[in-house]
Amino acid sequence: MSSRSVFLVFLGLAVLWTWPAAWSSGIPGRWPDALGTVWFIDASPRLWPDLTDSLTGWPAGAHYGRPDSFVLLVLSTVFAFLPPVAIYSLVSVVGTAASAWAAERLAVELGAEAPWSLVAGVGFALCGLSSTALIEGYPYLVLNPWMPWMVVHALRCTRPAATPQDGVLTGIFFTLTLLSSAWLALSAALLLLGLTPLLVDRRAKRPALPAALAAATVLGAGLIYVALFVAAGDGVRQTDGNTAAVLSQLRLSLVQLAGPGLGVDVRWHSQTHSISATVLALAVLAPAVLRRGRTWKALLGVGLVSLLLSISPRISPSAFPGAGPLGQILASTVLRFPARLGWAWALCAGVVGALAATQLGRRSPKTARVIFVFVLIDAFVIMRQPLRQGEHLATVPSAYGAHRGPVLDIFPDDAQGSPAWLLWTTNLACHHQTVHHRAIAEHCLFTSDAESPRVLLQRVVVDRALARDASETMALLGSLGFGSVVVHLDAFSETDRTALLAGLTAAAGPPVRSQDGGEDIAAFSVLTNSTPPNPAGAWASWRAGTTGP
Amino acid sequence: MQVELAAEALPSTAQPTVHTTWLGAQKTVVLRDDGRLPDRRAGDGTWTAQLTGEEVRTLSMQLQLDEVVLWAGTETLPMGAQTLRFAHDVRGPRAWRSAVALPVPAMEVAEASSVAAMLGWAGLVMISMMGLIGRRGRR
Repeated sequence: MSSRSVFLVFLGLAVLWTWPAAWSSGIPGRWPDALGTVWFIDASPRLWPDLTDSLTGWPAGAHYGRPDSFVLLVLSTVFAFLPPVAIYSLVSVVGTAASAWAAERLAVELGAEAPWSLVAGVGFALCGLSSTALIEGYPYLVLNPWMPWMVVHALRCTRPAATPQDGVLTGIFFTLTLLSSAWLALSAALLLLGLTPLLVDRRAKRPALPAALAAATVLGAGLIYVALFVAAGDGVRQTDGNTAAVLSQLRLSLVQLAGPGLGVDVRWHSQTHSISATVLALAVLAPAVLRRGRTWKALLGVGLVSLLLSISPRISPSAFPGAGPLGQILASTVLRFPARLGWAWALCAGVVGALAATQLGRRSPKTARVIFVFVLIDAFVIMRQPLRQGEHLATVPSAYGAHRGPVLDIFPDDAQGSPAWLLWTTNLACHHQTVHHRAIAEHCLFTSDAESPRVLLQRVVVDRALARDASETMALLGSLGFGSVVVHLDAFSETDRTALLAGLTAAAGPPVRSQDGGEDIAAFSVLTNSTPPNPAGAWASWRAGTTGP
Repeated sequence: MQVELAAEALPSTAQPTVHTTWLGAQKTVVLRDDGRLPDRRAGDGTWTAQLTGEEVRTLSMQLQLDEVVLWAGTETLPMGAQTLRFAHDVRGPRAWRSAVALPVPAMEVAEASSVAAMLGWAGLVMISMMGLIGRRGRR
């Protein structure tokens, strides 16, 4: 099979695996972050150069110094002529295919032969973590051909024919992994750490420069990233602080390895890190098939370490109150989602599995074909992809078009203070901006309610409206430059809905209602005689007044 | 959208209902276990109701058994036909959102069976691979 044919096979598998991304009328993804990712794609062109945005966090604006993916930021800017949902879907489909193809190329580099080398691509790109990323709404995590290419060039650095370009390319691909997501970079760093004994082996007759260049580039990129992360200040996504008992987590992690449980998609999240049983079997049995070579052993070792780390219990960052900036990074990454360290396992096990499959295929090609059947059953039947995938409406309520100026979205506070509800309302308000293009009070990459003007003002508006005393509040909103208040009525109880409508109607006149775009919306005009001179200043004054002694 | 409540122990006179506001319109629908559509089989302990309308993103709803509120909350709904499943827990009394419409004890068995099936599959694959390797060894 030619390299092009292999890519086309993976493209076909990616179309099926990520369905309905290739032909979607909505936004692929079941949960709120899919909406937030679409907002990020839409907003990317205007976030340059300092990652600030005057159209969110109104009236003060917002700074997004710690986006999940700088690669998505660049891609969204380059392809800004496409609709955001199209970019989202392209990243899902092409990203999955490109990652699979790169993993297959790595397997070929190590001696695997087509078609058995395809096992590496399926094991890496069609794994449980990939499924989680697509269902939760992080398609940029599946666009990761960088990690396999990084390993390709790192391994070339260990050979006598190594060139300085190999070293530089190792560093560049590590940097691209880092810029795709810090979580992916942790897996990439783990891989490089596992390959270090091969890179520094003094017995090997090869030039030292490529490995030195690789190390310098990787360390440089890592340090610059950490410095930028720390300099960006607070505002990373809030953790829910809910860390279940260690034993309970271990049990759950082990069960999830086998496949997504029945209830995995019931509410708010679809997190699973299932691994392919076929890839696992091939990797575990590889020592019986692959007798010579240090490279596959190193990869298998790294993979197993990655697997062990990925099932380690989640530890609350609050367990390390004195942790510095670096500790904060670890707390918000490794400790929060250890499962994501499993990407290194997916790659290493897939590649070693492809090598083992090649050996089995050479001896008994007809019988070994069952491996493909098993691998595809793992990916599509056990993982239940794409059946588990959902779609969000991509349309927006028409009432947003009734007024001009910045919008204040109003949702009810969740009685239990659920982070999931805050995440939903935040991402929904941000998504709607991709269509109405008006300034909003939401902080779009945050879930920290303490920082969002929307949440703070929403509480005041709801309180005063329910008390039938919203006139002053509307005047306040006018001084802050808001053009309208949009109430998302579906989420309010019948009693509150009626009272809220009556209170706001008394203060602002009758609303414009719409019942399209999947929501029942009431948009109230904030009447102002003139454009307020300094909304940001008025906001600062109001904040000082509400938080002061 | 379909709502299913697994509740085996309910008397035939019981009347589970679902109350919601769908794009501004209040709806109350009775769940039935009489074998008439949308219910699949009479007396199987799965009570079913159907709600129809334009696509909605969120749905605040309340599931009641006569006057007792079994479940109340807001669901976010993906596009397309959806089924919200609940399991009646007589110890509550209340209902749990669930992936399958089975009573709570049976649901636990179903969950365990699903894990066992996946582990069984992994075992089958492992044995098959060992067989492939053994075949190679014999040759």
